[in-house]
Amino acid sequence: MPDHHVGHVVLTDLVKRYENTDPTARPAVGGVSLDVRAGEFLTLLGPSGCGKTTTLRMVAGFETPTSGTIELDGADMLRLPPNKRPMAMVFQSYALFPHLSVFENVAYGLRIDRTRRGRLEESVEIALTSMNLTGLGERFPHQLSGGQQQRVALARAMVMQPSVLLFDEPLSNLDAKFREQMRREIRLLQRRMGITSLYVTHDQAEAMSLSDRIVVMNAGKIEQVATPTEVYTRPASVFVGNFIGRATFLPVPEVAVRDGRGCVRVFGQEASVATHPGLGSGGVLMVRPESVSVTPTSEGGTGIVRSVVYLGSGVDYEVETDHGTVLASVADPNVDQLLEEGTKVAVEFDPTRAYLLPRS
Amino acid sequence: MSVLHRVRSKPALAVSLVVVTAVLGVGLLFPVFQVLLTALSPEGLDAAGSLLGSSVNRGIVVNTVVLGLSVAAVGTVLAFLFAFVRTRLDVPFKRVLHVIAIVPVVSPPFALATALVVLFGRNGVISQGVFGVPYDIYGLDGLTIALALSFFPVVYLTLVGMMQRLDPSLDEAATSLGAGRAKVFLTVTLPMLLPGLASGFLLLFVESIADLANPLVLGGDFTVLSSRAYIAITGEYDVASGAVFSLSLMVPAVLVFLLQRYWIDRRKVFSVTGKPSGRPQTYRGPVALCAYAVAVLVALVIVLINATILFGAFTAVPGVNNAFTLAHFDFVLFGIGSEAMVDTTVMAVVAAPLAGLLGVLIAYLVVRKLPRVGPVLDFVAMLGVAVPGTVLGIGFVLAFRSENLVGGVTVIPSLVGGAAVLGGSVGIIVVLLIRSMPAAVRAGVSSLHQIHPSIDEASASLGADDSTTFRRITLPLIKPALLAGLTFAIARSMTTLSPIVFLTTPDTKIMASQILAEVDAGRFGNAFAYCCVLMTIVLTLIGLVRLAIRDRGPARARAVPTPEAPVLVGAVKE
Ligand SMILES: Nc1ncnc2c1ncn2[C@@H]1O[C@H](COP(=O)(O)OP(=O)(O)O)[C@@H](O)[C@H]1O
Ligand SMILES: [Mg+2]
Repeated sequence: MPDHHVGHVVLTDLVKRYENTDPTARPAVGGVSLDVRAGEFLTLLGPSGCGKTTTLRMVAGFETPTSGTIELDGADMLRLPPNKRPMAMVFQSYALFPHLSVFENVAYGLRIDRTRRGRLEESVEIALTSMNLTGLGERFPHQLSGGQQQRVALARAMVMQPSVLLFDEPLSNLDAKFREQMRREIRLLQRRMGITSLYVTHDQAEAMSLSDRIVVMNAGKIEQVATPTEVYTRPASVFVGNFIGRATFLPVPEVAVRDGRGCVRVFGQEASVATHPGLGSGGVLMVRPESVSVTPTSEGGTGIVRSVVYLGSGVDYEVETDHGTVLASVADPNVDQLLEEGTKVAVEFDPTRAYLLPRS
Repeated sequence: MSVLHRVRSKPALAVSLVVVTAVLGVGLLFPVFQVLLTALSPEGLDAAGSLLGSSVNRGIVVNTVVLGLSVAAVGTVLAFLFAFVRTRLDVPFKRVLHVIAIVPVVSPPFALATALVVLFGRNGVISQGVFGVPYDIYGLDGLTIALALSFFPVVYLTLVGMMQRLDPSLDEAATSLGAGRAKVFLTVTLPMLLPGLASGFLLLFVESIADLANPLVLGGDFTVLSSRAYIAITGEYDVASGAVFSLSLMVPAVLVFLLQRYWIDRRKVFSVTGKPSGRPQTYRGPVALCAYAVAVLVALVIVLINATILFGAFTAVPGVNNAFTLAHFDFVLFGIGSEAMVDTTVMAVVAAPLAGLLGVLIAYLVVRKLPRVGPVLDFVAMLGVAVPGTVLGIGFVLAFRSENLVGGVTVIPSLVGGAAVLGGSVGIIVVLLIRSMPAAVRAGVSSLHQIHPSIDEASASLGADDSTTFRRITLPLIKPALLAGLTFAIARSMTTLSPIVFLTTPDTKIMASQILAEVDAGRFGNAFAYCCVLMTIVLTLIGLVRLAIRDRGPARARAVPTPEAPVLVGAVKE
């Protein structure tokens, strides 16, 4: 049964400077504060090297923070070694014990906790069944496919019924098709069990599809904490807008802000768009390619098609305009009416999907 | 986190650190320190003066260097030849050649030398008997052959490992750029093997100048530093000179050790790629054929030598009176000789598992637990083989002949000489431990490096503490390394001569020094019977160990590969 009273994780001002690194360089993690609600699926998302893994490993106890605190349900976690923290981690490499059978891998943690030895077989069987691993208990890790190994790693962590599950890019070793399937399974399972999950990935699609909330990180700091829709439609910074999905940023030197909306004039189009609260007098307008439309025109065009990339499900146009190069993406295009390079077009965007951001 | 902090929060870690430090401190650093002290005493400085001053002694130093260089040259060429045949030629009987090439690893150090005397000595079966020439193998030529044949297998295995890991696509790239076979070999293959060849050369140099057994059997008038030190101690009771002579061996040994550790090992990482793709092309033509012919010839010599040992054990006076007899085996197995057999086996059986476990424990501490202190620990442990056997032996005599008192309380009882505890066997076991542990450390370190650290973390994340993780995860995973470590610990403990020869007492006899005594007395039959029994015991023990800790079930398929060559490098016998 989901128990939404355990698994509340609070990180306060976490800083990690690796001992062997230049003390003047920026720390691997530079002051991260987070409140992970009980039962929540929270994803740390960001480019490689931004400090996601380090943050996760500090929560797990494998790295000691340089400063800051980590609390779980009010208890100080920094005093506890990793094996005493009620958390279980799923590793990128799966880290299955190669000399133990699938059954013994899953039973490993239960055997260590004396209070759980009683119903060990039953618990392991349930865990194996819930991960579609029935009948594979006697196999050894090297006799399993990558996807099955991944499930064993999950079962091994889940069976401990930890207060918090930690994932470090668990799907990055799987091929694309399988990854999507595992994503769904992880999501379902997490919902059903209600275990707080802290998930690390650099893949924005994975973050979007799995998370209740996403933490976008950059250079050791948090850029934004928000739901997937918010992160996509109302990014806190140009970095976030760029990292999540595709976007064109058009510089807008002068903006008149009224009632929280900004009035801009682009492609000869007068529009009022949603605005970031920190916006000053000038900013950048974020337009997503799918909300830009291009119509061939003989006169008064605002752009010229510079490149055409046909993708099957859609077509991408790079259009040169007075404001810079704009990306436009048309879904499900009619192949007989694809535009050609050099075509003059009228460019339009949907103001309800655009967002005005401060220059960074 | 500071070491102190780590240690305080983990009692298991603290205990293992204390044990390891105590063993290395008492068994290695303290005795070597005593040798240094003695060499720096007034008598020691006198002896040092005469080492530099007297022309006889200067001759000994020159002899030692000449021997080291010639063994290193011959041994490296042999090793390369065999490795080349194994990895780059498409010829029959390669497997047989491989097995023959590693036979010398398990044979006692003077079995080879003694057989050479019987075959090519003053009354040699072959030199005198077949060719009728009064060839005298004693001296530089005999020593070079015996030592090169004894030590080349280790270098051979290292080179085979390197050559198998060289990416064949590099050869292919050079070929596609227009280089012929010879050109490819000279410009691509050879340069990448240079670190391996260089380290093999250095290893052979150090091993051969530190060797004591062969110069005693085959040296004749050709005196080297190790045999001079031995004579100073056992014949002239001149400990100070012994200390100085043996220390002068330690200087090059430790230099080479440092060079190896901080220069060559680093370069290797860059020159050998991890995952070879495809198969190396094989060589044909007259040069390849010559290489093969020489390898086969050398293999035949090794076979001949081992056959001599076997037949010699069953003949009355090998080479002179070839009548069949079981008297030698009777002497070794049931007569007075059996004492040494039992003592040696018992001590090896005690020392080897300790060495294996302690070595693996050190490896674990070094790789996983103590990132800062670890390298120091590793360094000291590896000194156990870098320090010449004579230094360690003399050090034990100096350090432990009388009991060590601190404030009037016996801290360490006498371990050497007539009054030693348990007839000196404790001292011998400690020496065996120190000498065989480095192999286990190397094996452990390289196999731990192949286990992803997240395996340990997964265990911790599931609630296991450090000692549980070590027992349930680490130890089973490095079982092959432990096995390799144990194997060499056994071979080494049973065949070691140079440190032990200083420590035997009337109560504790070891086979290696008994063989030496029999050879000295000209009773080659007894010596050969000892060698046969010794090899049989070594192989039996190794077999038993393999049976006992063999992997069960299919987990074996994924077991961490045994790092054969690095283990051997740490395990050459003196
Ligand atoms: N053990 C370590 N020692 C020193 N620097 C490290 C160590 N681990 C990670 N770093 C550095 O810390 C930064 C953050 O790394 P990491 O947390 O692994 O990033 P991410 O998981 O987001 O890719 C990187 O610059 C990385 O080079
Ligand atoms: Mg990472």
